[in-house]
Formats: sequence, C-alpha cells, structure tokens
Amino acid sequence: MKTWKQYILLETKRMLKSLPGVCLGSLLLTACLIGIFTLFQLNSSRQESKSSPVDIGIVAKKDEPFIDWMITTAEKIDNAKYTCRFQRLEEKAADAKLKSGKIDMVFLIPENYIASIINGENKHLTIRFGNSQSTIVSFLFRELSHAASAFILDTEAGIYSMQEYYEKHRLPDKAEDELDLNLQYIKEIVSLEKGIQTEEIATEDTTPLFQQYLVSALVLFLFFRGLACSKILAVQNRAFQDKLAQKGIGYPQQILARGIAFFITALASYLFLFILAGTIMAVSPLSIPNTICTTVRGVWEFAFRCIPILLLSTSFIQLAYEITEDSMGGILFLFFSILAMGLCSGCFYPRSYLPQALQAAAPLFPVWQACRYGLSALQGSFHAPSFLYMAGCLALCFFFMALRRRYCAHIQTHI
Amino acid sequence: MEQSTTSKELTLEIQHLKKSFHHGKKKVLQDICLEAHKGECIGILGANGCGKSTLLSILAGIQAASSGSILLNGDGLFNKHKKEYISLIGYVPQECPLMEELNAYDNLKLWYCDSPLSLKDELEQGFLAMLGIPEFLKIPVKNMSGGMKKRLSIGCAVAGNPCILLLDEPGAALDLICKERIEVYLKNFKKQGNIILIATHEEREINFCDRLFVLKNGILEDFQYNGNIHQLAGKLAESERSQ
Repeated sequence: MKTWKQYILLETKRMLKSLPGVCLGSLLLTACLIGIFTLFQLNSSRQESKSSPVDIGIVAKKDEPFIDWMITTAEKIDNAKYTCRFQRLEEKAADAKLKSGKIDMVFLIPENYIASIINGENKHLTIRFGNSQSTIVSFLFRELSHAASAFILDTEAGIYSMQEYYEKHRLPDKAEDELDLNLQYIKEIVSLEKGIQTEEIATEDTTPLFQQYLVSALVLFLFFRGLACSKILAVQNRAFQDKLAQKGIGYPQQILARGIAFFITALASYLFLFILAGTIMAVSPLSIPNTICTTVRGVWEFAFRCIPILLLSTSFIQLAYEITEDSMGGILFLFFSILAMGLCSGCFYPRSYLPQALQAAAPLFPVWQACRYGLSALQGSFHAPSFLYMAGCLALCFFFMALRRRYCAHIQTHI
Repeated sequence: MEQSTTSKELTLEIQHLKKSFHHGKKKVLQDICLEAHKGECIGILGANGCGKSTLLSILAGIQAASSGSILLNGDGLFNKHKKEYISLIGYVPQECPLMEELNAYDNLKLWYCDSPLSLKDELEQGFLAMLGIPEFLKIPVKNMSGGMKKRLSIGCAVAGNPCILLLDEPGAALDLICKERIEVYLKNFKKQGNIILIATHEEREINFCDRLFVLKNGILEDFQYNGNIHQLAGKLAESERSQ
C-alpha cells in the first residue's frame, strides 16, 4: 500500500511536470475551438441578416402588365411585409446576384403571366434558387413553392373540368364565368390566411441552443484535450510494470494509480480554466442567463458539478493510450472516436437533425450522457441517470484497460 | 521470514522446474534443477532465446512456472508465502525498470518507501554510495547513460535488502568503469553471504561466477570453464543449434 501511494505521488509528479505542455496544447485547442465557433457565429449572423428579410428578385418584361401592382400587393401582405424584399431585375443581373448570394431567389415571370392566369392558359412561373448557402428560409420557400405549384395545378385541373362541363352541356357565358372564377382564385391566393388558418400553442420548455452548444463545447474540450496528453500517458516499459507487479502492485492497481495521477493533473488544468472563466466574468458583464452561471460563485458551482464529466473524460483518454500502447495510435484513436461520438451525440448540432436510427442510439454514447449531465449541472440540478451511466462507462474503461494490460503481459510471456 | 536468515544459512533449490507456452506446445524450460548456497555466484549461459530470462523472471515471481518447486532453506516458500519470498529477491531485468521522466532520487524513493533500509543512509555510506549513485541523483533518467541506468536499476532492486540477487545481462553495453563498479558491489554483496544468479554472455562476468551452467534444450548443464573462451563459444553454439 505504501509503495502504491508512493507510485501515485510519483506518477502525479511526472505528469505535473508535463502540465505546461498540456496546458499549451489545450490553449491551442481552445483557440482553435473559439476560432471555429466565432467563424460559425459570424457566418450564421451574416446569413441571418441576409435572409431577414429574404431578398427576392423579380424578372419580367419591362412592360409586363400588373407586375408592379403584384409586387406592391405582395409587399402589403402582412406575412410578407417584414420577411420579403422584392426588386425588379434583368435575368442576367438576377443570376449574377443569385450566384454571389446577394439575393436568395428569383421569380421568373413569363410574358403576359397575369393575363394568362386570367385567360386560363397554362404558363408557368419559375422560381430559381442558388444551390449554395441555403438557409432555412430559402429551403422553406422552395418547399412552399412546390406546395403552391401542386395547389395551382389542382385548381387548374378544376377549371379545365369546368371548361369541359360547359362545352359538353353547351352552356352559355362560359368565358365570363371562367374569368370570374380565375379572379376569385387569385383573390384567394393573395389572401391565403383566409384559406389556411395558423395557430400557435405553447411548446414544452426546451434548452436554448446556446446552452446546449456551451456544454457540448466544454465536453468536447475535456475529451479532445487528450490529444495533448500523449507524452504523459505513454505506457511505461514492461520491465517497470513487471517490477511493480512483483512488488505486489498488480496491473489493475497500476492502471488505477495512473488514472488517479492523470485525474489530479487534469483537475489542475480544469481549475485553471475555471479561474480564467471566473476572472473574465468578474471583470466583465458576461453571464449566461437562465443558468447558475450568472455569478462567479455560480461558475464555480458549475465547475464542481461537472467534475464527473472530467473523470469520465480522463478515463477515456487513458483508455485510448492504454489500448493502443502508442502515442500516434492513441491520438488517432482519440480524435476519430470523439469526432464520431460527437457527431452521433448531437454535439455539433441538435439531435433532431440526426437520422432516426442515430437519434435512438445517441443516448448510448458517453459524450451524449456527459452533455445531458452538463446541461443539468448548468441549471443547478443533478441528473442521476446520466451520472450512473457515466459511472458505468468509467468502470468499463478501467476494466478494458486492466484486461488489455493483462493480455499484453500474456503475449509478452508467450514470445 | 526474517531477513537475518542470510547471515545464518541460505540455500536456494530449484527442483524440476518446467515452463511451457502455447498450452504446452512450446517447452522452454524442461527440467531445471539447481542448488545455490550462501555466498555463491552462479552464472547461467545459453544462446539467445534459450530461456535464461524466463528462468530468472520465474525466480523473481513475475511469471509462474508450469510445474516444479523453488525452495529456500528447504521451505517451499514460493507457493506458501509469495510475498515473503519476493521480499528476499532483488531482480534486475535486461530493460531498466525506471521512470524515465523522473530523476534518480525519485526512482529510488519509490522502492525505498517500504524498505527496511534508510535511503538517506544508503546514499551516504551504504551500497548506493558504493554504486556511485549520489553522483547523478538529480539527473532525470532519460538523460542518463546506459551505465548510470543499470547502476540505478541495481540500486532499486536491492532496496528491500534482498539475500538473492537475480541479474539479467547486467554488463551488456556498459563501459569498463561501470562494469568495475558493479563488480565491486557484487563482490561485496556476495561476501555478505548472499546468492547471486547472473544470466550473461560477458567474459568478465563469467570469470566472476563461482559455478556456470549452460541452458540447453530447457535443461541446465553444469559447465566447467577453464578460461578457454573458444570452448565456451563452441558449447553455446551447440546450445543454439539444439533449440
């Protein structure tokens, strides 16, 4: 026991010696993460300003009748007033703007379009989209245009049936009735809210995306930090392992000792991170609303509550280097496994974006459970199922490591 | 078991020791029998891969033998009181069992924290001083020469004040000064009535041994060395061919 305690102390000392390097690596990693997030934020805010309101180009002949009236009417509709901005353009200019992303879509109005609708001719309106930088709004418009197209086609089919009916029964005033019907149809389309009633109900209280991304960033940071730990977690030589085993410190105890030492080292840098965060919060008006992190004390409470996540991440990192027994192998294993887990666990985007099968499998990944636990911690609560799941994962990590060492010792003695 | 056993009588007996791998398909040690007495140094020779290191690691308690027994002063201690037996054994493997990033002092602290010997005393006037370890106490292991590492490994191995020292090719790739230092220490260790078992290829170490054995076909054969290195080389070549 005395030797084991001494071994833990020496392993901690050895690892702490490499702490500056680990911190530097973590700092670089944080800088990269912040850079990516900032870029993403800038890009999304640029896209948001661009799509709110949506810029729509109208391409039609200069002397096309009713176009200006139609644009003015559309701009006056309540639903479009704040969401759409129309501009008349030449087709080439419209395409150029669409390509450069300055407008979101173009309506190509065929010649005598309004007259053709009134006369019941089948002329098609074309809506042209750019295929890059698609936003949710342009996607919705695309879907809506498909729906409207189907609606128009159905209505046209009705009108043609009416024409056939008039012809068959040789009824008079066909043109007048048809004109009247078409005008009524346009009127209906222009005031769709009469045909389709919209309602809103209060949804369940969901976690804001910002909080989700914040916790995901912390979890990913704690896991990805392992990429900078290849040196301190390099597996000791076999002779040393054997000598420890000979002195009664078996392979599981060796793994545990290294795990404790690595956790202490990781805790040191983790606390440093939160000292930094607390200091920033103390000197600036920054805070995370609707969470416990509105005060410096709250930040420390959050840090304390998230220690089980740190424990899980350190054991997973240790597992990566232990089972690969190679620095580069460990780095690659960590990088790809965390990336895959992050992708499948909705760390990079909400889980609802994932395919159905993955949505069901996501809670099986430790990263997902860590995020869930972190979100609860951010609200100042304790999520017991996630905590238990993480504890199970931790035990599994140590079991696999001990198994791996035993297997390696077995292989070694068989050569 | 009292450590003072060494001063009275000490006999290490290996009886019909066997070790095989791959579920008995590869027999490395067939029938090892050996008896070593107080103050004796025994050399084990043999071709590469003949099983010398396996034999030493079994004696050190790292690997388990397939069958056979190891007796100390007539007691089958290995199976009954492994912990006590292990405390009497000092083992220096081929590869240095050290923590590379830490210095010599830290490495020594690990093995001396539970030792009956005082690290401070040993560094000042004990066998660690004899090995010249205080000269490089603060140097990290990764910056040490091969000789320094080997001396430190021996220093760590004898932390438990053992009465049996197992050395696996201790002189390999060491310079003459370092070999001399180790030899002086070993002579002293032997003089105190302890037993040394060395697996070696080095002529200097062979000359230092009281008795020599060649490990051939998994069996230890007594070898009378008369200083003729060619005769010894022939014997080893024969051992290699028979593997």
